[in-house]
Amino acid sequence: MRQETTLLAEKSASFHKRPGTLKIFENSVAWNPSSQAEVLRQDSVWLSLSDVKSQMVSAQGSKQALLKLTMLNSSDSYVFEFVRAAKPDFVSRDEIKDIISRQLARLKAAKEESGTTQGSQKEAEDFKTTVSPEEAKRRLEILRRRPELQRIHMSLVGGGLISDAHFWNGVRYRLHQSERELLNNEEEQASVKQTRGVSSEILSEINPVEEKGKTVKYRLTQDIIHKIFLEDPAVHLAFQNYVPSKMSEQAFWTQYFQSRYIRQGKKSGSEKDDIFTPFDSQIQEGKHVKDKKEILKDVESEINLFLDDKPYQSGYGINEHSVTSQIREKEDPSLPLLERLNRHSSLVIEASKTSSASPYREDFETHATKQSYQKQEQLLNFPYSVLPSVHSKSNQKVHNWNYLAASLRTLPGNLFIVKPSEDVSRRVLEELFDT
Amino acid sequence: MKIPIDDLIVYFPYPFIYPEQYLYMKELKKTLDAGGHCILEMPTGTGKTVTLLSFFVAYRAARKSIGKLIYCTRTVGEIDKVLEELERVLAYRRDCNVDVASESQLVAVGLTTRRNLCLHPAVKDSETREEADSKCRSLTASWIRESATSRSSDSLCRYYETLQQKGELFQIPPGVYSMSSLNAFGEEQGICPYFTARRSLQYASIIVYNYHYLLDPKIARMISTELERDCVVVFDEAHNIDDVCIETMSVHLKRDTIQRCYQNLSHLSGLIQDVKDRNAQQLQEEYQRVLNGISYLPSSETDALSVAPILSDSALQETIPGNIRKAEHFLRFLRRILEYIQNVMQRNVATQETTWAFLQSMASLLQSDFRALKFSSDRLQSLIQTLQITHLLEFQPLQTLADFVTILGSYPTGNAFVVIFEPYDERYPSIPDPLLQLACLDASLAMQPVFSRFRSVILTSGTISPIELYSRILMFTPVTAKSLTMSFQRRNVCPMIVTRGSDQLPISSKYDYRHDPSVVRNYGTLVMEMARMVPDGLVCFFTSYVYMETMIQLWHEMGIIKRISEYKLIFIETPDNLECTLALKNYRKACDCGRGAIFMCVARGKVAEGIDFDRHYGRCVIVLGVPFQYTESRVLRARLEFLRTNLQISEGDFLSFDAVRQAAQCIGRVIRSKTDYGIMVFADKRFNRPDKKNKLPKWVLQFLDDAHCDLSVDMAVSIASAFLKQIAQPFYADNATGVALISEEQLLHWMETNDKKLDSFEYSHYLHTSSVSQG
Repeated sequence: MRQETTLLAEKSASFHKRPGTLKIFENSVAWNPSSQAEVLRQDSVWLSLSDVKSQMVSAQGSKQALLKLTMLNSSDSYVFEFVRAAKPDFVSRDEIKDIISRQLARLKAAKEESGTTQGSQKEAEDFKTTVSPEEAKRRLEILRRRPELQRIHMSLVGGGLISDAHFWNGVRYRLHQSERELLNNEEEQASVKQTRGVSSEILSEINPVEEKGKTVKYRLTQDIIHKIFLEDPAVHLAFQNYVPSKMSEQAFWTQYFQSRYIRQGKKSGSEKDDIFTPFDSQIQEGKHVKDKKEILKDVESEINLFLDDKPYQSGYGINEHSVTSQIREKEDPSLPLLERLNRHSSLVIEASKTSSASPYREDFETHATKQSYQKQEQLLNFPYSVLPSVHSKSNQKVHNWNYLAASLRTLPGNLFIVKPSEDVSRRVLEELFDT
Repeated sequence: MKIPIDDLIVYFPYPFIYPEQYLYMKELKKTLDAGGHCILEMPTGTGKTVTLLSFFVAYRAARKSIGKLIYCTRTVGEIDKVLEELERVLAYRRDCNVDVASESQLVAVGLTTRRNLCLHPAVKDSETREEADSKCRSLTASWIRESATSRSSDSLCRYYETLQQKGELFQIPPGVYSMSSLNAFGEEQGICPYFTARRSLQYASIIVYNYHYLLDPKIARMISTELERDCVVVFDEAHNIDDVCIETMSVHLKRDTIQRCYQNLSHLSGLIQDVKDRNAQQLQEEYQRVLNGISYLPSSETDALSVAPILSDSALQETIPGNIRKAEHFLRFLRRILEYIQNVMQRNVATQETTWAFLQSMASLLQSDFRALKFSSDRLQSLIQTLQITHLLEFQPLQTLADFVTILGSYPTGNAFVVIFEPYDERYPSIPDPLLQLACLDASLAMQPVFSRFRSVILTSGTISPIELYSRILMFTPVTAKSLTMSFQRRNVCPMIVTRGSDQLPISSKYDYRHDPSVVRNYGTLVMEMARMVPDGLVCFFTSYVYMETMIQLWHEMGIIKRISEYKLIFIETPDNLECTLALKNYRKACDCGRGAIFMCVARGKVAEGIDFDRHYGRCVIVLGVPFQYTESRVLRARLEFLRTNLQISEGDFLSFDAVRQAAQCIGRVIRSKTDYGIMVFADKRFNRPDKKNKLPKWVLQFLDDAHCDLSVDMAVSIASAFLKQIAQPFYADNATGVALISEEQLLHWMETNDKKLDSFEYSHYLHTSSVSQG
C-alpha cells in the first residue's frame, strides 16, 4: 500500500554503509540505494510516518551526521548517515530532521482531531488523560483569567453536556488572536528548560566509606576529583606535575588524603615532605599578581572597599601593634579555611551564572551540546581549568558538569585505598584512646 | 509636594512624606532659626538625606543670609548618594518653576582625594592616597612649573596646566558634581578635576566631603579655611564622631618610623648642604622670613601641605624661637628629640605618663626649653618648601615625629592627652614591637573649633542614642536634641533578644564563656536555623575578627558549617580588601539569583561601617555577642579614666554605650527604606539587661516588646518564621497613605485641625497598628 504523494525533500544518505537517496513524502519516508544492482535486490526501505515513534540525531560537530528513526510497533530502528564530500553533512541532515518533525506533528494533530470527531466517550477520556501537566496548568490559567469562560466551563463540562476536550477545542478556536499569541509565548517560556546549578554544599568533606583496622577507604569519582581540582588549585597543579611521571595516580590521592584529612589542623615537622606545600605557596603568590583593576572593573561603587582611603596617614590615629597583626595574619591557622569557604561559594556562583544565562529553544540535543560548549569555554577561561587526563579513555574530553554527571551515573567509581603511614595511624589511635 | 513649615515652603520631590520627615524638618528649622547646634536621630531608611537637602535648599532660597551647606559623610559611596538625592531635589524644584533665575542656580560639589579625582595616567592608579598626592605634587608644584621649559612638557600635568590657563576666575557652571561627573567634566574640558573641585569650594553652595576635611586640623587648615561663618555643617552617620575626633588628634611612633626618621634627617642635611653650595640665598631668605615671624605662605595651591595639627591660631602668632630658626639648628634639634625618643622606646616595661611628666623628663635630659616644640611641624613645612622637595612620601616619618612633638608642646598641661609606651603587644609578649602613642582622650578637642566657627552644626544618624551622652562627650549644648520614632503601616522590623540555646543554656560572648562548647554549638544552631528559615541574604556580625575565626573553625569541626552550606552559600570578611570586595560582589550575586547567601563579618570592621545590606541583600541580621572594645587596651583604659574624672561618665556606662551603638549600627544596615523589612537578632544574654537594652535607639525599642526579649533559639526561630510569613504577603504602599505616608492635602488638613496632633502622631499610630495586628 504505497501511497506516493507529494515529494517534500530528497537528499543523498547512506544506509548500512550503502550510499543512496532518502526521500521524504507527506506520509512516508523512503530510501533507495543508488546502485541499480541493489535496487533489484529489493533492499530499499519504506516507512510510514505514522509508524515512526521518534527521531534522534547525532550531536552537531560529532564525527558523523546521523539520523535515527525508531518505530512505534517494533523495536527496529533505522540509522541514516549524511555525507557530502567525505564530510558529515549536517545541513541536509537538519533539513530532513525539520521536515520529519513537522510532518510528525501534523500527523499527530490530524490523529487527535479524528479521534475527537469520532466522539466515542472512551477516546475522549483517553485524550483527557493525555493532557500534559503544563497544558492543564495553562488551561487553569485561562479559566482564572476569564471568569465568564469559567462559568461556561462549569455549566457545560461540569454538567456533563460536552466533554472537556470538546470544550477546549472550541476555546482554542475562538480565543482571540492576541491572546493566543500570549498563550504561545507562555508555552515557549515554559518549554525553556532551566538547568540545574551546582549544589551549594561543600564537597570538601569526603567521608571515608569504611574504617576497618588500619585502612580507611575513600571513594573518589570523577565528579569529586573535578571538584577537588576546582576548589583546591594547588592540588590540581600538583597532579599535573606528579601524575603519572613521578607517581601513580593512586599514590597521589593517598598523599592527598594524608595531607588534607588525616593531618588536618596538625602542624608538625612532617609537613615538609608534603607534596602540596610548594604549590600552595605558588597559588598564594599568583593571587597577588592578578591585576586588581581588572578584577574590580565591574564592582559597584557602593561595595567597593578600595574607593575609600584609610582616613589617616600611617602614624596617626590610635593604632594597635602592626607588626604582631601582620604576623598573626601570616600564621593565622584559620585563614585558609575562610578563603576556602569564600572560594567555594564564588565557584558555585560562577558556575551557575552561565548555565541559566541564555535559554535555547532548539531540540534537546543541540541545546545540550551548545551548553556544553559554553561550559567548556567557561572552564577554559577559568583559572586552573585545563584539566589533566584523569583516565585514559576520557582524556580527550574537556570536563564539564553535564559530562561528569553522566559519567557519574555510568561509572562505578574508582576506589582508592589509603593506607596511613605508621606514625600517623599511631597518632590517630592514641588520640582515639585518649578521648 | 509642597510642604509649609511655618512661613517656609519646602519642595519635596516625592508625592508623599513620612510623618517623621515632617517633624525632622520642623526641628531643623527651629535649629537654624535659633542659630545653634543640634542632634537628631531618625530611623534608618526614612529618608534623612532627602529631607535635609530639600529643607536646606528651600531655607537658603528664603534666607539669603545663610551660607553654604557643608555635608560631611564617612565614605566616598555616601558622597555620591547624597549628591544623587540633591539632584532629585533640584530637578523637582525646576519642575515646579522655582529657582529658575540664573543667579539662584547653585553649584554642589563632592570632594574626595586626589586618587579618586585625577585624570593623569601616572597618578590615578596609585595604590594609596599619599602616593597619589606625592606624584601629583611632583607634576604640579610651583617650582617645577617654573623650571619647566614649555607648558606642554611631559614633566607637567596637562590637566592642571589647562586649568591654570583658564585663570582664577574660571567657575564651573551650576549643577551637581559627583565624583564621576567631575571626572567626566574634567575629561571634557581637559582640566584637573581635583583642583577644579578644590577651587569651587569657594563659590559652591553645597559641599559634600569626608569628615576629616573639617575635623582633622592637618587637612582642615589646608582645605577648609576659607569657609565662612554662616555655613551649616551636617555630620551624617555621626554616631562614631567621638572616635573620629580622637583619632585625628592622636599620633604614634614605631621602631621603623624612628629608623626612617634618621634617614630623613641625614637626607635633609645633605640637601641643605647642596643648597648652601648652590644657592645660599634661598636659605637666608627663609631665615629672614622665620625671624620676622611670617609663617610660610604657599605660593600656590599645589604646594600646600598638610599643616601643623594644632587647633588654636594663637600659637601661630608667636615667633619661632631662636634655637630652631636656622635650618641646621632645627635639624640638630630634631635629632636630639629623636635620640631621646629612641631611648624611651628601648625600655622594656610599659609606661603611661601625662604629657607634663613626659615633657619634664625630656626637657631635663635635653637641657632645653620645650617652648620650641610646638613650632616643629610648621618649621619642618617651611624647610620642605624651601628645599623644594616633591616626594613627600619619603619624609612622612619625620613629619609624624614633628607632629608628635608639636602636639606635646601645644598641650603641656591638662589631661586631654596621655603618652603611652608599650614594648610589645600584650597578646604576643614574645614579639618585640615597641609603640609610643600620644593618645588624645578628649573628643571635644577636635570638635570645639567646628562648633565655635560655624553657625549651626547638625549631628544626625539613624543610631545616635543616648543623645545626652554625645553632648557630654563632645561638650556642647544642643539647641534641639530629638530622637524620632518610626511611623509604620506594618511591623517591618522584627528585633529579638536571644539569651538561651534550645537547651536553655545561656549564650554569651563573654570571655569566660565564649569557647564553651555549648555556647559555640548554640550560636551555630541559631545561625543554621536562621539560614534555613530566612530567604535570600543573611548577615552575621561577630564581636571581633579573632572571635569570628575561632567560631568558624569550631563550627567547621562540629560540622555546622557544612550544614549551613546546605541552605546558603557562605561568604566571609577577610583582612584582604580585594578578597573582601569580591566576596561582597559574589554575595550580592547569590542573593540576586535567588540562591541565598550568608555573610559573616565583624562589628566595627570595614563591612559593618560602610556596606548596606538592604532589601534582599539582608533579610536577617544576627549580632553574635555584645561588641565590646578590647578592654585591656591601655588607650581605652586611659580614656575611660578621663571620662570618669572629667565628665563623670562611669566606665561600664561608656563601654556598654559604645558596644550597643555598634550593635545598633550593625542591625541598621539591613533597613534602608520603609518598604524594606528584616529580622534583627541580638544573641547574647547580656543584651537583655536594662543597661544595654535601654541604650538601643528608640525606633528599635518601639518594636521590641516583652514577647521578643529573653528568647531561646527555638522560640526565636518560630517567631522569625511567623514574621516572615506575614511580611511576605503582598504589600501596597497606597495602604499606608494617611498612616505612614502623608499626602499634601492630608498634611494641610492635619496642620489646620491640630498641629500638635502630629507630634503625638507616632504614638497614637503605634497603638493603632498593634491593635490591628492583634485583631
